[in-house]
Amino acid sequence: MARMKFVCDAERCINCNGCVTACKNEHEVPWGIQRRRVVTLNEGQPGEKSISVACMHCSDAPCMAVCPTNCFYRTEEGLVLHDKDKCIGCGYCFYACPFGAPQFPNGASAFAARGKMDKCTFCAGGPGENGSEEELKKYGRNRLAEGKLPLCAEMCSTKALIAGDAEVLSDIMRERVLRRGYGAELWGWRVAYGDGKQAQRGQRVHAPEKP
Amino acid sequence: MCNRKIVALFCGLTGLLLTACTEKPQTYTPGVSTAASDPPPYATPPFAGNRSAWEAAVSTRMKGQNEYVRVQ
Amino acid sequence: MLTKKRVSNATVGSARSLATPMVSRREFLKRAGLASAAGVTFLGARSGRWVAPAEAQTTQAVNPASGEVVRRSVCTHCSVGCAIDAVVKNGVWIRQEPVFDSPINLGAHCAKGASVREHGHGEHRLKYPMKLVDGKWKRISWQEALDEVSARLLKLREQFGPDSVYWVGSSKHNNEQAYLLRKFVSMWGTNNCDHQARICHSTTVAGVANTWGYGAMTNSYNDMQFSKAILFIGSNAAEAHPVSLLHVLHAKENGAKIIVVDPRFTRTAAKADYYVRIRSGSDIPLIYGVLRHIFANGWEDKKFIAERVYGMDEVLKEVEYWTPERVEEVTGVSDDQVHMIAKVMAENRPSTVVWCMGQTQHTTGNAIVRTMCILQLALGNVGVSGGGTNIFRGHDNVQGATDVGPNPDSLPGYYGIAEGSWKHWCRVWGVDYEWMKGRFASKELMERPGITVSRWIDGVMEDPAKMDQPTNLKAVVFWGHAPNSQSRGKEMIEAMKRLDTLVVIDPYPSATAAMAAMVRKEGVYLLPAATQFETEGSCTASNRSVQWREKVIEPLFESQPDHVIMYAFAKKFGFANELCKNIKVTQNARGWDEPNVEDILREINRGTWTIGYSGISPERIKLHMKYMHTFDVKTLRANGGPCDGEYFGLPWPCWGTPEMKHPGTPNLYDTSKPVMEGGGCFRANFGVERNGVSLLAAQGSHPKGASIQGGHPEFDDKLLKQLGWWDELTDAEKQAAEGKNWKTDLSGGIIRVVMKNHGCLPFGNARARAVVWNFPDPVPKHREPIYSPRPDLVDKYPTHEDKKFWRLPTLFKTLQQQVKEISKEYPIIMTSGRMVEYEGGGEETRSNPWLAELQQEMYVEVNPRDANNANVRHGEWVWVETPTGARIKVKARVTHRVPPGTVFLPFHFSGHWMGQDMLPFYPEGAHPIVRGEAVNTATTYGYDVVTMMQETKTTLCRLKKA
Repeated sequence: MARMKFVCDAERCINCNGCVTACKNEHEVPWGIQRRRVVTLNEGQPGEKSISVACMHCSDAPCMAVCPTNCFYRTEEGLVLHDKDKCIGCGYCFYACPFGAPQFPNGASAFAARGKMDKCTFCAGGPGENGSEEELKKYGRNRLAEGKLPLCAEMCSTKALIAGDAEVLSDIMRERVLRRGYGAELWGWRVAYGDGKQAQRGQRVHAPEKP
Repeated sequence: MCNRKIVALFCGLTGLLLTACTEKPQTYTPGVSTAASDPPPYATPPFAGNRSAWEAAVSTRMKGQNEYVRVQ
Repeated sequence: MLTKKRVSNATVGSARSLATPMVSRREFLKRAGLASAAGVTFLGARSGRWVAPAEAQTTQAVNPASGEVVRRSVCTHCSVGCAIDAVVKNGVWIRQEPVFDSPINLGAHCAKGASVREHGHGEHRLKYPMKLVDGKWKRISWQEALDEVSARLLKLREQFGPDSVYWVGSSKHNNEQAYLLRKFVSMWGTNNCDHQARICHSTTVAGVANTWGYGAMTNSYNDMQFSKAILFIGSNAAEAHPVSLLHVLHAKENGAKIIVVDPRFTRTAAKADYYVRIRSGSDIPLIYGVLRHIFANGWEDKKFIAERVYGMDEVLKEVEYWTPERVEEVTGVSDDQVHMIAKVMAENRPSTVVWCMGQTQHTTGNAIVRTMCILQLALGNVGVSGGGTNIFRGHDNVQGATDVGPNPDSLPGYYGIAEGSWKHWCRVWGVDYEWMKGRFASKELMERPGITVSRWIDGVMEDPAKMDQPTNLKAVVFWGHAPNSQSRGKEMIEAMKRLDTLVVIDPYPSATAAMAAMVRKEGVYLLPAATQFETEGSCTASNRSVQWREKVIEPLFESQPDHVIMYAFAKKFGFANELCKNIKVTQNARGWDEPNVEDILREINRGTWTIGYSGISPERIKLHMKYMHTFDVKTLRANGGPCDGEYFGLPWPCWGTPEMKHPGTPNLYDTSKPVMEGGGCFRANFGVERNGVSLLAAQGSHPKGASIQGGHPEFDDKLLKQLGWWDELTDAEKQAAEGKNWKTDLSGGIIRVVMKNHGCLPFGNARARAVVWNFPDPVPKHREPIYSPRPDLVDKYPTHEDKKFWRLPTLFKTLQQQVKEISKEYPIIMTSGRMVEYEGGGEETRSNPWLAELQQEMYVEVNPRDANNANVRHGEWVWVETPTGARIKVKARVTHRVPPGTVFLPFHFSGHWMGQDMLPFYPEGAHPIVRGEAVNTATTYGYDVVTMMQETKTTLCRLKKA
């Protein structure tokens, strides 16, 4: 297996927050902690686009690079996980992460509210026995060890958010793009490649302020 | 007086010694993770070490995300 | 951001206690007596995990290693009908898994669907019966509650007659409960009952049914994948029906063009190819403008109109009136955009239309929806896969409750309330018609439509001399309905004061409870009902597919399922035997008498021939739930397997008896298929001719393979004899069918013979009516809303004359004239709608911490221009004031989503009253996490001229900085 990734198809994401509550449901993440959230740009105007963001499980992860206790590790599947027993909750990873993935719970004890630094685990738990009580308490469910994928992606209302081996995800996206007949419209596509056919098909949206 | 001081010092030292005994090693090697070991996802039941079975299961779920497989 | 803030310590308040879900789960287990019994905790029990297979999960299969069982249910929020697999262990709902096999949602969920498990341990609901004593909530026993409530209601019945009690039913009930409630209210002796459909799609049901037969979504969410163009108008599906976008975006990906027409640039608009901004409530002129271009360019389907439509010529005269200048004057839409809509819809056929409450909740709602039907008829888009009018219903079972539930003008199956209808149902129920008649105050009142839920407040406060019933309403029973979803909240409080008794039966009765406790000292009772996850039964999605919900968990706390509570009251009222004559009653786990849910559905099967619920037996739909994976996602048809050839959920009409094995009807009125494969034609429900013009379909237009190759009337015993088909009935069928028609023949013999042997539909084969002569505006006409922002247009397009209907005098023109110039003081159009995280009145979803966290404040969307004019900044408090004198305090969300001159408010909030938090008035622990002003506290008077739908989409307001 190569590298596990998330992809969010901005052409499909409708900002329904299904991914966010699916995560809450599966991991019982406490109030105030959002391992995943939906970001919308140009809200209420032509060009409005939403995308669901969590830990991207970077291949060269800045959080890993800066962690003073080196509590991060990368799994065989390419997931970036961390050991909460080693984490000191300093928040340096929060500085480093370009996506705002690390969360800092305000629990009574170090683990009661998923303690110290908390982030998306790709539903793969953390160190220790898979599916153990301890793992559940500290990191949440380990769906991967059950042969399942992250629940946020599996429950996405429009299948905008997909998860898994990057190769498989590219195949899925490639098929969509072919059918659409215009650019992938993944986040950053325009930055990288400029306007594609989408510009020609255009969002012929006309939003006059006045009737 | 003197005795008491000695006892106090002794207790203090013992305390420090004992603390040190339970202390985990704090050596830091840059670039090496300090995280405890994490068994791979296929290590435990229901896959119990059968990596190919696990890969097949996850692969099915991954491909299932493509609704074009089911909707033509 | 305004609504996604993280909760700081200072503001967390009650929400904080939710921050330790593990603890509350343990507490729950303890309460359920499970933790100690099993010797395990929730966490420890996980060691022997069980992988739920991705393939069809055989429901009820217990995994021997883990003790986990998977129960299949359906989301209880919107009408899409997303399937849910609930993993239950030791009676506790521990996980929720996606159902990839469902052809409807393919495992997908929005925020609401992905969070339904919270129902399994939610703390913020009513836990036991309570009553208001000296202005305070007091816990009482069920026995006390049943005794006192029934004594009070019986006393009122004796003193003022059965019409003095009003029963507000629910679209959240399953089909069996909704049906049983209509029967229950009938046996109480009144037609004073209603449910959410009145205020969501009643105008659709009336307008569309009167056009071509059935007032329901013609096709399905899935079928939209065949559409080449989709026009959303008055629908924000991306928020109100998020999973429908799975199919819509799939269609778009394959080339379908999407047009969104709305006053707001909605999240649906963000996904569209074209967006058109319209003035709220001006839909009719816009569609006439579109039709003008269609006819001018010869884009209409001439053959279809000639063969299957009545009255298009008359409509054309109205179309002629609406020149581009007039359309722009009224709607604000330029002619090039109107032309674009016409061109896209005509050149990309099959094209479909979607509408929701943006069209229905107007004083002209019935006419607006008919113009949509006319548009589709002109384009020949009806009875076509990929076409149709895809009317997205609101609640999970609002379609079912409309079909078989508590409607004030109809018995289950749209039978009406004439003598013949009563006699039909009395036969099905096994009760004597004379006994039933004796339950009512008079035969006249038995056959007179009751008051609607939108007007119950006037039923309480109107002068009885002016009403069409002898008494005011003295008691109201809210049985699964939010008070903040009805307009004129300020007057509702006055009505609540005047009631003798108010009873609320609901898992989350708190909005009603708090409102009542604010103004009353006693006479209010709260009874805890179970959710749909704590009972079993069927529910009907918007596309008419019926799905079965298994019971996930036992009722929590002291709650009881609604049908169990109905039976308990029936015993008190003395008609329990009649209520369940054909229904087995057994004791449930807590020793209460429970009418058997499957038996209730079988009784529905035996009576509802009109709409073909007759073939939807519990056994058949349970089989569909189990073999979901065998159904095709686009056609909904099973390909092989035990349901081979059937459509998922047997979308009604599923004709005849279950034994006839009709596969259900995926797309209504589709002549390209034989009737036994789901084909059909328009219904002959309005006679055979009018003014010498035939109302029946032309020769050559008929369902594929029909032996009558053209129009024909509906079937009865006489027609069968005339045609020489009578002897195809068995002797037993002949006996049952003698003197009956297809709707009242309890053997189903007439239906069997005409369908199986002759390929015809029992309801005839007629034309759709572009002109509905029995409505106030036979050809739809634009009329300004009562509170119009345009006095000049009020003169040109005045509303209707005042009239008395549904038992109440109702103001139209008098009021419109009175408030004609009020836009000088209240210059801004106020409209309302849904947001994705909450549903309906919102009390249930705002009690769910996973959802509540995402939207913590009630707000008003206001254009930067209006915000600046009111000197209000983003995130500041603002008063929204309306002509009723009501003012609500909400957060300003300054955005270009709305144009200048229009503000939008979501309607899911309650718990604040004109600036005050109502927390002290909630029963302890039963308050929702998030509270806010209800938009309907401030909404104004105005009702649809046919159905009493409330006008909530166009009224006026002004903004004041708070």
